[in-house]
Amino acid sequence: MPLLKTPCSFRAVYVQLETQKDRGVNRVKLCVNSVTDWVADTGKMWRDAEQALTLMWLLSGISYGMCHSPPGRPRLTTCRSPEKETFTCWWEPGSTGGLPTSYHLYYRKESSLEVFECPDYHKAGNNSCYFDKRHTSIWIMYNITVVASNALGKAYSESVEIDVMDIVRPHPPENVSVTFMQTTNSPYFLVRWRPPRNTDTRSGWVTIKYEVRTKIEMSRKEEDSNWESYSAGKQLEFSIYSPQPGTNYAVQVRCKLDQGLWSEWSPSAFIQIPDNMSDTQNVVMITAVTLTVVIFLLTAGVLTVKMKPVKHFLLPPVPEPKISGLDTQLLKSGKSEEIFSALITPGYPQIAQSPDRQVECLVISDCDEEMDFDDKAHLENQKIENCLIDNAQKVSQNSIQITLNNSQDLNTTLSTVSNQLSATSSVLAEPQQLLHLYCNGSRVKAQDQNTQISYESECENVNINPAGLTGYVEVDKEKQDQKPLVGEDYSMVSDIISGNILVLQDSIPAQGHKEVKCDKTSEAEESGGVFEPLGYLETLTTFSSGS
Amino acid sequence: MKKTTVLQVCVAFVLCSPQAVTGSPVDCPDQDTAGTSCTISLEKLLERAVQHAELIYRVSEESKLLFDEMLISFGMNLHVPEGTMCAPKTVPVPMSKSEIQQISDKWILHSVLILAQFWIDPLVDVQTSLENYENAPSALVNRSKWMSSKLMSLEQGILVLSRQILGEGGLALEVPEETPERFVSSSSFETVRRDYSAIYCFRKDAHKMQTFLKLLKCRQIDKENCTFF
Repeated sequence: MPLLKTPCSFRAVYVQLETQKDRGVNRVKLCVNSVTDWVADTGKMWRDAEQALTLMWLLSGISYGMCHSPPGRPRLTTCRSPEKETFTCWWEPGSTGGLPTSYHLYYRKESSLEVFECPDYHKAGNNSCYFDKRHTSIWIMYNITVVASNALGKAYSESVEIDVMDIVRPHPPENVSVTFMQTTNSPYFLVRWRPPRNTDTRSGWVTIKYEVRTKIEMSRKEEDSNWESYSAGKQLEFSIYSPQPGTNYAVQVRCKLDQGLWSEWSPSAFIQIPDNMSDTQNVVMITAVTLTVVIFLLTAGVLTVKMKPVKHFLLPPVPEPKISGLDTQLLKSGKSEEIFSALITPGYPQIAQSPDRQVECLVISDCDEEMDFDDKAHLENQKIENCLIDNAQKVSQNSIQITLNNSQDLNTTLSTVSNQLSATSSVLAEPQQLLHLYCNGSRVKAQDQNTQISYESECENVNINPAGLTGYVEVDKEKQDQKPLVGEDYSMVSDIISGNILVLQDSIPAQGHKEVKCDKTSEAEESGGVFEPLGYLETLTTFSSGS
Repeated sequence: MKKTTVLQVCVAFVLCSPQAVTGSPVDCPDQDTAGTSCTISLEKLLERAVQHAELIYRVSEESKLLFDEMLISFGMNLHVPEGTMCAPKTVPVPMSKSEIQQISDKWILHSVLILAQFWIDPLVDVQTSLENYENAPSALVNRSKWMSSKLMSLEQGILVLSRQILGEGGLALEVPEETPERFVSSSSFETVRRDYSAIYCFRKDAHKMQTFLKLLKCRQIDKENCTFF
């Protein structure tokens, strides 16, 4: 028997039974939909027909169950409000059940029981519902349900309760642009953007907050560098400093409203940083700095080495007072002898022949006069205190002027002596100079106090030694038998008058003459070399007489 | 000598001048309702009020999250917002931006004041109740304490604001007679539920307060940008 073919979508079953008795062949005509199968059966037609019928009914029942069903339950996936003034909900359909299914969204507000239907199914795309401003209320709960319905039935989704303030998620910021700003020392790139569309950020209805992130794009390498995020507050631009030169950056921005959810990241904006940004600057700066350091070190070294000359050059030393011959080192050592000896240089001390300073006493008495021994006092009174020595001579300050009161003859003699003295050179220059005192024809009287011999003496040479060294004046007699210097023979000293006059006694008593010796010794000689500064030139008049 | 005297004068100047510099925005606390000599500009007052409200809202958000975590750790799954958890207010609050756009400044201030006054006591209750929990996180307890204190200062600030904007007696303060029902906690579950709903609803109202104040500030300060929403 040929198979029954039963297509699924049959509408009617047409069974036609035809029997043809005359031929004895039972033909069962089975017309199914557009297909009609003629079944010819001889003899067993009735039985087959019954089987076919039951089979057909069974199949129709099964196929109807397979191809048509009520819809499956849809599911609300997400609801979102981009600006807290409108919101949209999306759902996911379940199975359709083979039949065209329609979806409806119904909602109920918090405290009321009235059910409303979605105001706009199309604005937000398929399977969505858009609530515009008129239909959006905030701070109340929406109870939302989606119903799927088809010919065979309906399906309800699970209800969802939402509050608009909880589902706020803005659109991403728009018109993100990046520009590179090349300033002198701190290059940066500036990111700018606009707020997301339709969002009221100015009235205070929402408080918006932005976030920027950047990444270095490496085209060749497989691995990507990480994003770096920066918080940008409410502003619409952001500067990122010190980018790496020669790299490509990608920049993205996103935003958030109040305490809600972050938006999607905006599409990337790219920027290429030029390569030679500040390399030359860096090189120049580095060389300049090193040069400065080197120069500085050199100057420091030079200064430390040549400290003194530089110091003298910059700060010339102030001249200090100095005494020539006075060595401060000697003062410190404390030896006075050396000091004083050092002081006495040939040119020092200068004999400033001030009038009253130099005192030379040359006492020459008249030898003709015979005086008694008793008149010694008289003699003393007469002469020696009157001995004045005047040093005020014209040419040489070493001239000695000797005046005596009692004898005019002596005066002339002495004036001659002074003339002679003036003719001589400086006493100081020739230490051993001997001054000769010439007595021209004059008589010099001397009286020896011990003897009463007076004699007429001839001119005697009076040697005046500058007392620079010896300090005494020698009187040379014309006679050969000159006595040694008084300093060597103190036995001849008979008297000392006024401290620096020694009276000598001549050792030729036989002649009966008194010889006058005018010796000059210095007290310095007697004291054995102790030097008196003022007494460098001392004269001593002696009376030599026979002892 | 001269240098030292000059230096002393300069130091004295520097020390004394901040008082003169900061004198212009006089530091008046928001709570100062009796100070007659103390004045603060409207701008600053509004700014402070907005900052207060924003901060309170943020802290309430954090409190709710902390409470959620705590409930998870307790093993409870409270899905609170089943509609009627939040106590209805006596004064209807506008529900959308367009509605808010239409209401007056007086109405805004009125609403905010009512909300602030409503929540002072319940927050104190929540705080005391939280302290009785076994494992309540200290952050949550601290935040609830903080919120109740800040809410009181916000209320004072709103009173000052209303006096400045609306003048004396601008706000007809009707003391809301509704006393929130004191739940006699039958079980710990109920207590937890109550506390959670309090925090949840307070968060919502805090958001309302901050939104109203922000709009009010915009209206008062920057009229051009705010008239067209």
